[in-house]
Amino acid sequence: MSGGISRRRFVKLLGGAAAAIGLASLGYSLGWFSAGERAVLERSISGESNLERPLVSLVKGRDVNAMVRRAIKAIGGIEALVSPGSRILIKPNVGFNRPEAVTSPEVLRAVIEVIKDADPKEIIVAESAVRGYNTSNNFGVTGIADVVRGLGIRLVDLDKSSEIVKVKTSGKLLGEVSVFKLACDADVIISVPRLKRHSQAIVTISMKNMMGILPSDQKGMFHVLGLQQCIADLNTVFRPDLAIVDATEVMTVSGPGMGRMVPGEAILASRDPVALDLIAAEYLFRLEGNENPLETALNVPHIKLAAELGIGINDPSRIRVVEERVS
Amino acid sequence: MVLGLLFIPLAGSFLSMLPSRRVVRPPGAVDEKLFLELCTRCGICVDACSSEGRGTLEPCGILDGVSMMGTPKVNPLRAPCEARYGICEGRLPCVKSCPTGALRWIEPEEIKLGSVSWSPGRCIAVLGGECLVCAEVCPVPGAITPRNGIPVFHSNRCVGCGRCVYACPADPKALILMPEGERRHHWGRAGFSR
Ligand code: SF4
Ligand code: SF4
Ligand code: SF4
Repeated sequence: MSGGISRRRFVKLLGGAAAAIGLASLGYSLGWFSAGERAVLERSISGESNLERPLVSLVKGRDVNAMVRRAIKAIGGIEALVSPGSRILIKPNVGFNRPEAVTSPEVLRAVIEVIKDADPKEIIVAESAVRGYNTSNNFGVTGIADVVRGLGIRLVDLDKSSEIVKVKTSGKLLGEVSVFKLACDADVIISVPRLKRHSQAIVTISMKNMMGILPSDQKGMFHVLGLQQCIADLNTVFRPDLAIVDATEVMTVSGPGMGRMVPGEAILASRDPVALDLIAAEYLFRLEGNENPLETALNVPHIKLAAELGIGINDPSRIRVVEERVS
Repeated sequence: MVLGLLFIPLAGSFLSMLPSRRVVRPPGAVDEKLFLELCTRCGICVDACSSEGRGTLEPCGILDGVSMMGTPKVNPLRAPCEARYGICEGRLPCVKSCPTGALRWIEPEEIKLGSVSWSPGRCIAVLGGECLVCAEVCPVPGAITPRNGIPVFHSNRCVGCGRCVYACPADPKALILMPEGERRHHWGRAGFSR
């Protein structure tokens, strides 16, 4: 789809019957709900990248720039995904104020530079941190702010934006999900997580990373409803179109805040976030010395649930892994 | 008339005898008795804290006790305290702003505002959910260790930042911040008392 990803959204009024509308407008005039709560948006994800046999690249080496370029090239190149004139949202993981727990600035820089080459209309880097952490402060102390602003790219602390919209999901637990509007407006979403362990989600890679477009109450609600299913449900509407995993230094054993850092010296990329998270999780478990890394990865609930919802492929026999090394 | 004038100090001493709640004080607070003498309830520290963004400090209200009213307390429902492992580490705007010495400089590694108290009966993880948000957000190694999906709290390690309380998605919250184990400036001596 060289024309890029087109997304249609339309506003659907709650309720169909005139009586319901009447009641709703009465409620609205009485201030029962805010304007944002009256509308539920729909967002269609790109069907094109529902590849039957997804490609996942795994590029090893030390030269982060070359690795990121190789990894994106190996899955078809940035031009296949980013058409000139599209609005790009890059979602790194900057949930914490510790450098080892966030996407490394060097990887983010390399990703931005590749995307810039495709000449999009707009690139935005945005994040809403883990509850209890200040996103802007995280940007500053981890070096993310310097890199992004240095490249002349807009960096957004989503927690400071008040525009929140509700979007319908086609998941199982979440009928609709509240997200920051900015994320909803993007044509292309690029998830750039660091490969980490997670106390509850088991791993946090490209799909779990999408929780950073949620306001904090919605994040909390995921845990109340059931985190693993909610991560999958969220990705039915906010499925990254491209994901690039920073596995240069990997947080193993425990996480997502603190864990044992192990050199991974790799970058992974794919247009299928399920396939990518599976292969990246396998990579992580192997670094931990797990004897059945693939088996363990296949059993990560949110990866399995996402595959069940048709978000991507988790069947290893259908995933083509391109392994390369750059020196 | 004379009786009326007498009433004011009488009422004051009567009210101060009413029970007051123990609250979590800002970092660097001197011992409680001295704190209540020194603190003029000016509220400057509360403002200094808010200027950092969200701000955890707020003035005590009547429910905290009449003698406490207007003195600053940490309320993790507003925001966590950033003095340790956070934005204010090594800067402490609240302490620096205090004009009376009720709050005094304290090194980051000495800060312990209190500790959290956990109510298993409210905890999503105990009730069979997928939570552990507390363990996820706690910045202190070993203060919360998950065991079989359930958090185990180690109050000796907890610095009382309140991040876990702030983030806990249970309603009502399964965590409360208490002054238990707090480290305060000890009057007349260099150093700290527990
Ligand atoms: S600045 Fe000092 S005197 Fe003023 S309210 Fe705070 S602790 Fe009390
Ligand atoms: S247990 Fe809670 S209050 Fe204590 S240090 Fe950890 S996050 Fe802070
Ligand atoms: S964050 Fe609250 S509900 Fe969740 S596991 Fe911790 S104490 Fe329990």
